Amino acid sequence: MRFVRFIGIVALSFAATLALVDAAVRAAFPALPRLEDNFSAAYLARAIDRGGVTNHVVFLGDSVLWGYRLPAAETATAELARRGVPVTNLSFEGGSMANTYAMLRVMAVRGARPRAVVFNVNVKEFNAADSAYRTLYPAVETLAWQELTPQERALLQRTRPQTADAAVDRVLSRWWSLYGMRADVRELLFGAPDAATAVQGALGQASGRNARTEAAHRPTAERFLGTYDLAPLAADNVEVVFLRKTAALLAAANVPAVAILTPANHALLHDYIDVPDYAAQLRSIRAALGPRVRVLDYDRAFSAREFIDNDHLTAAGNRRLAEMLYPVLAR
Amino acid sequence: MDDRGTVEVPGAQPVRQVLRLDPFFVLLNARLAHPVVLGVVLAAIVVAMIVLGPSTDSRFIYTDF
Repeated sequence: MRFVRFIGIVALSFAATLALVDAAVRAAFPALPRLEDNFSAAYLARAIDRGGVTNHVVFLGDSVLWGYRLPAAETATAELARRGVPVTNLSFEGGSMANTYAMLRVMAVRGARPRAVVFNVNVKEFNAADSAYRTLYPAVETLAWQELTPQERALLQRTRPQTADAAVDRVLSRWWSLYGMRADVRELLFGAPDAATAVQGALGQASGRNARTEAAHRPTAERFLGTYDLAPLAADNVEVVFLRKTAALLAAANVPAVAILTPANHALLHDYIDVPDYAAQLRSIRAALGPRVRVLDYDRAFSAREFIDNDHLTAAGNRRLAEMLYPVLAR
Repeated sequence: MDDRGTVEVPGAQPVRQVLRLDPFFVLLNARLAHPVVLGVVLAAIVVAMIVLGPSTDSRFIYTDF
């Protein structure tokens, strides 16, 4: 009897401590300037629900708008925020039109209404060989899958496993914030997906391995062979389908929409994209966006030195992107 | 045989031998093993496992060049 009482008190104390930690995580986890590169469904839901979307200019897109290889403070959205535009950056590495559409569906179902939506359209993602083609980011998939129609789901490949383990994981993530946001907590604490990776990074820094890897990370034209598929865009191209759906959804919701034709490093990609087929794809994309979406054609708006690689902008490039967007969004 | 000095106590119970390394003995008798403290320590271990554990979440793998 004494032992049972002992175990009961231990269990109560255990549960109370976990509940306390969970309450602290819920209350104290900060609103981040952009999504981390390993964000969870729990964090995304929280970012949408906690007023980060309604009456804000929401950026949805891929790594170009996310600010690939740059600190959050050096992105175009951070610069716009400094200029007083109420911006929320929900872009992420691996974004695509399918992801943009899914994010809009999630926002709509959660009752969030943005002041305007800015999204980028990246020609390379219309290539069926692209890793973002017909794939939702796992956290987006978790929140959006049930909101998509069967026809929309049929166009996509699920990345989340449908096993008993995954079901338990979903239930735990839903009710236990620390567990659901563990990826975000780790990113916040370690600046890496986990502690081991952070230690590995620190060792790489100390040994000079990181610097050597960075020096070897030079974009050359041949690395982008096959990145762009310049065959005419068919109506059943998954990205074209979701591009049309995105435009229609925003028009139906009466949300002002701005589409950025993603800047491309023409000096680097000259052999692949300075051809009529590429220009034809851009025209097809413009046509698919329809009359209700304002299109900003930034395809040739940046010089080679403003790029890190084929389409990601440097800090200076991001500043100029913000300058170009400011007059459009400040109104 | 002279058995003077030996006393038989009627009804005496045999002394229970307890191995001092028995985890239950340690759990119930260690001074620090107050059940509330133990619950907090166990919860701290679970929190540490979650925070310090390896990332096994499936995520989009960005295809860097």
